[in-house]
Amino acid sequence: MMFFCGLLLGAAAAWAVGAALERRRRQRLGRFLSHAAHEINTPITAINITVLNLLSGVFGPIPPDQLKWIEMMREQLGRLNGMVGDLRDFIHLSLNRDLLIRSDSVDPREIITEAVALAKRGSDRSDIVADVPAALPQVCADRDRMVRILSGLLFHARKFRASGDLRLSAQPAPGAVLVRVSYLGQAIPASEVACSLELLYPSYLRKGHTLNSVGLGLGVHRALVQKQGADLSFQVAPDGDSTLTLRLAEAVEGGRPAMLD
Amino acid sequence: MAKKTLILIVEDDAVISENLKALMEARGFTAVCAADGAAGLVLARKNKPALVLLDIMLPKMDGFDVCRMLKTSPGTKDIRIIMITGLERMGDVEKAFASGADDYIIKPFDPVRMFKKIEKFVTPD
Repeated sequence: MMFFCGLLLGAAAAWAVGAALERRRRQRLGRFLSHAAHEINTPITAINITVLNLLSGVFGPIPPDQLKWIEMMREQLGRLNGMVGDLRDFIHLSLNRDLLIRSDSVDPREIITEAVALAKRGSDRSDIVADVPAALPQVCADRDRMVRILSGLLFHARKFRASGDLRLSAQPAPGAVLVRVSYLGQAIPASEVACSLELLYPSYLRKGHTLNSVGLGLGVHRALVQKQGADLSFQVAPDGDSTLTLRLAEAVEGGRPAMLD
Repeated sequence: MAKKTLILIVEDDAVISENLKALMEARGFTAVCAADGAAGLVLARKNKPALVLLDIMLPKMDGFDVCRMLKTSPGTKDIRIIMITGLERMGDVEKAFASGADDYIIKPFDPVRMFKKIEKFVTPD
């Protein structure tokens, strides 16, 4: 009896030590990857501000035939920056690190304006048609993340549209504001649509299977909007008419900014 | 000629600080740069800028310490301080306010939003 009790205690102690070591390893890995994301962010910031200074004429006028190339750099930098942000948040989500999400009262039109600016192509090639009312209720969101997520949805729509413009609309709904990104894409099965909102969807590559994913995928965006009390859904009609809908929770009057974990 | 409003940029990445300086000057401010926390502290005490754009992760002395020292010293406590951080370090925002910062901006910079924050405190002359 004593022998078995000793065995059990020994096994329990070994398990506890193993769990503690694993926890420490994950913490260290999380810190390392977070540091890596910070280091990657620094050159992106440097290139980004140089491009923005070029475009705004801080360094003098740009020859018109060079403008579109610099605009393209800005667009690709926006994508790169978005992906680094998604990767960093994915690391926090998957390693259970503290993911500090702000919860501010934000005008959704500001989120839309900034996301369109990030995703728009050169000024002569705008393919986003926006239909946004002059006034909308304030919503509760982590503004910078929501801008990144909405611009990510626009990049997704641009990649998978079959023809036509990208349509961006916003409208109030009970307790929320609905922001929709619509485009004419390919008809894809409902099961694939649902699957594409899963966190690890880009890893589901199968033979003859086309991934409905750009960047780190819609799953990361959905996980992040849900952390903000919002939601992301995706519908595809049989004719390929596709809509990504962000449901942003209306801000409570008198609510104070907060950090959500 | 009227003296222009001075902004001190404390940032260790030379490309970022030179671009910020050019951007501030195009807006009508004057700007000086420091590449580490200790140099930033010396320049702030010497030049008494109206505002400091202060990175957090700096060599020699981090941005929190620079901010705390400026805000607790009688000669520099009225200098406005905007801390610069990355979104992956949002926990730093709380620490920035605790060390006395007036506001923060997040990298990569959006110049429109950055000037909105700066011009809450100072305007170009």
